[in-house]
Amino acid sequence: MTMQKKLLQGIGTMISMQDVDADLTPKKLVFHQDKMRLFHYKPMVTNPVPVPVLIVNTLVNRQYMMDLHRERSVIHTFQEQGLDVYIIDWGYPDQSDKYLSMEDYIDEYLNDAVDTVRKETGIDKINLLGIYQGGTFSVIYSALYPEKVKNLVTMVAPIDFSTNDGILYSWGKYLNIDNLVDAFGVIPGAFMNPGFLMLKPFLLSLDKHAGIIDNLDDPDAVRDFLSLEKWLFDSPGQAGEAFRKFVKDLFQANLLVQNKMELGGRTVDLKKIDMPLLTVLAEQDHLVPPASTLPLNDLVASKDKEIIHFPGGHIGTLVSSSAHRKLAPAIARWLADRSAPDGKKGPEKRESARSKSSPVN
Amino acid sequence: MGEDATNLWDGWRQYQENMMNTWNSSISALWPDRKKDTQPRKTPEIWQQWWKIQEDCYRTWQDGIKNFQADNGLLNPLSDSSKIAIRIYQDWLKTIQNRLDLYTPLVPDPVARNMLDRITRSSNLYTSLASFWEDFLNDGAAGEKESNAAASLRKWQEKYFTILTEYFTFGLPEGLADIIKKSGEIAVIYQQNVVDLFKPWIASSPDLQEEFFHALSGDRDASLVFLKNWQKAYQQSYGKLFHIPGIGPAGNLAGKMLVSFESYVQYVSSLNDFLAGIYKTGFDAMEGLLKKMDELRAQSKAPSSFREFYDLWWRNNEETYLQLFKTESFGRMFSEMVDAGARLKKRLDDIMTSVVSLWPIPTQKDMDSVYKSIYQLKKDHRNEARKIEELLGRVSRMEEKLNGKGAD
Repeated sequence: MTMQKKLLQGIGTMISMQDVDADLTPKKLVFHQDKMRLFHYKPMVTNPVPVPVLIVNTLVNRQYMMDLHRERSVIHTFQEQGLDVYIIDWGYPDQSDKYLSMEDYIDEYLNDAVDTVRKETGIDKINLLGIYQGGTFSVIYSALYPEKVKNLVTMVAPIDFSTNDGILYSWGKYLNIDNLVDAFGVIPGAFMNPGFLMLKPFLLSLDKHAGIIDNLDDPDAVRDFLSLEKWLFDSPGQAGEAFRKFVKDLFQANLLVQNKMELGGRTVDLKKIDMPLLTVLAEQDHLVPPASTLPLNDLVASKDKEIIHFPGGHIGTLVSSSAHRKLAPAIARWLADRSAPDGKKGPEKRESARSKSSPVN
Repeated sequence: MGEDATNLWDGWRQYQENMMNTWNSSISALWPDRKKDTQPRKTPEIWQQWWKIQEDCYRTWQDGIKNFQADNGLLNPLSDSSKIAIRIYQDWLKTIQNRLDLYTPLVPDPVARNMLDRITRSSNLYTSLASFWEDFLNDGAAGEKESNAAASLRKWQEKYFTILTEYFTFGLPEGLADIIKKSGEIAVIYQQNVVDLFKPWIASSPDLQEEFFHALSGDRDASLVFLKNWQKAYQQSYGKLFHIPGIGPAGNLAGKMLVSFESYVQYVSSLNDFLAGIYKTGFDAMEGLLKKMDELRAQSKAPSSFREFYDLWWRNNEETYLQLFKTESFGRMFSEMVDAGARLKKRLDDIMTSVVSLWPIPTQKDMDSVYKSIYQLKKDHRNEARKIEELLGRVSRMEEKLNGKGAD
């Protein structure tokens, strides 16, 4: 009965809500190529961390997950912590982009974005922060262009695909990716989303919606819920050729961890990664299980490397309150500590977890 | 949203809220300790009292609802069946759900509208489960003995199967429902295109029509007969017009149609295998849950509230489905279904390309060729731009050197 009442109130709340806003923090477009755009967020402090950070987002979701709204904006937290933030928006590929390859994404778009940030700031080596699939791209990039990366941070990035802990890893092994790409050209986001929902079928499709009913009379709660839902279902498609390589080389052949993956005629050797590395994993990640993320630190040559264990799920690393209170500031501190212009740790060293593996509670 | 719609909505909502408050008060008056002890007290006084409240409630409901419902004499509160009150209540809930469906399109933001739709559908399933739960409680209150447990279990199962069937596309994980829906859409698109393609011939030939529908139902032999007869009809009609020899485009198209029918049959077969596994798992999950609940009830440890039951239900389903999804056989079956859909789409695209190629408009193949050329041109352009930039850099450095030398 209460539920019916709440539902009625919820309709009233939503009728009065004209739009669900996200991506509100002011930013400036500094570079664009085809559909890729590079944005810059101005630092909010007078003495920002001297080395800028470029955020490399996944292809399957939009970049504004980092800026859902002011109270839960990783971008805003980074700005407050003094970071000079750049972010890539990959855009929505259409059929004219079906031939885009992983080489195009990494050697062209990502490399051009890095060069633009280097030029704009006059800094030779910049910080790279890759999220989800963007984390895999960042790892590959750092192995190919170590001279341009000062510090590397990966957040819940799939690296080792041999695990069967995640259902996607098991399904990916049997997928006939050739037929799929040949049939669709660009794999639509709407085609991929049901697969993601199936990873927690009743929680994501039923209980989540039944659960929000209790808060339907609270406009703030509804707005929070809707902004996250808007982002979740705002899914760009996957350019066919790049997706084909991602599935074949990684999900099916697991070439990256064997140092056998090739990109543009070069072998991606993870031992070339020698810069400081911070790996963030989510302990309850149903999409990218820790077993896929953890091996990275053992495969690189970096001497300064650390793992943060986030006690939550995949998306929680960006949108949960704990992520905003603890994880984002911890990442910002880790970068700031290693971003002195002379390459040494800055004199104003801030408090940071120094252990090899640290939980964020 | 217009002002009239807002007024209509506000009025109706206010009425419903009042109605709910009345209902809630009535329930609290009857069972003040209902939350703690969900077993309704089975005494004649309570039933009489409850019945009176239902009558009052129904009258209020009828008065309010008559402006919104054309057919307002559906229920007769003076019926001698004591279950009429429950029916009124359930129908009232349905009315609310229907109204929610009506008002959902008024929500201006598309994300909010979509979400409300999902939430409403969740609440429908939730309500059905709640009704199922009420039965469970009432059977318990009726003092069913252990010997009746099996019969009771069967009854619940039957009711649950009805719920599951009624809400199947939603009661299922949404991802699965979407996949089934999208997969179904591919088949519908396929059928529609095939129907459109053959319309001029099947409309004028009952025999072709019959063969055609047999073919569409997945009968490969029928598809062979149909294609053979259609090719004849084509050559005698449009074939003459386009001066197309038997081995020309018409023959080619017929071959493609045959391949597409095969893909269609394979696709339907894969989808059926996939669905069989999904349905069976759903029923297995509920059967397990019902048995567990029966055992718990025998030990007086049954869930004490609907919320507890609901949590038990969805978590049990989640776990059961995840176990299924993790299996290698499901991974293969799922991939086979996706692959069969992809193959069907490719065949369908081939047919459309063949048909469209008869007219002076670009086919998908033509467009792909254009996309590839543009892609390559862009790549070349980027490389050239990079070379120019490098050369300019060199020139600039040389100039600096020269200027430096000159200064010395």
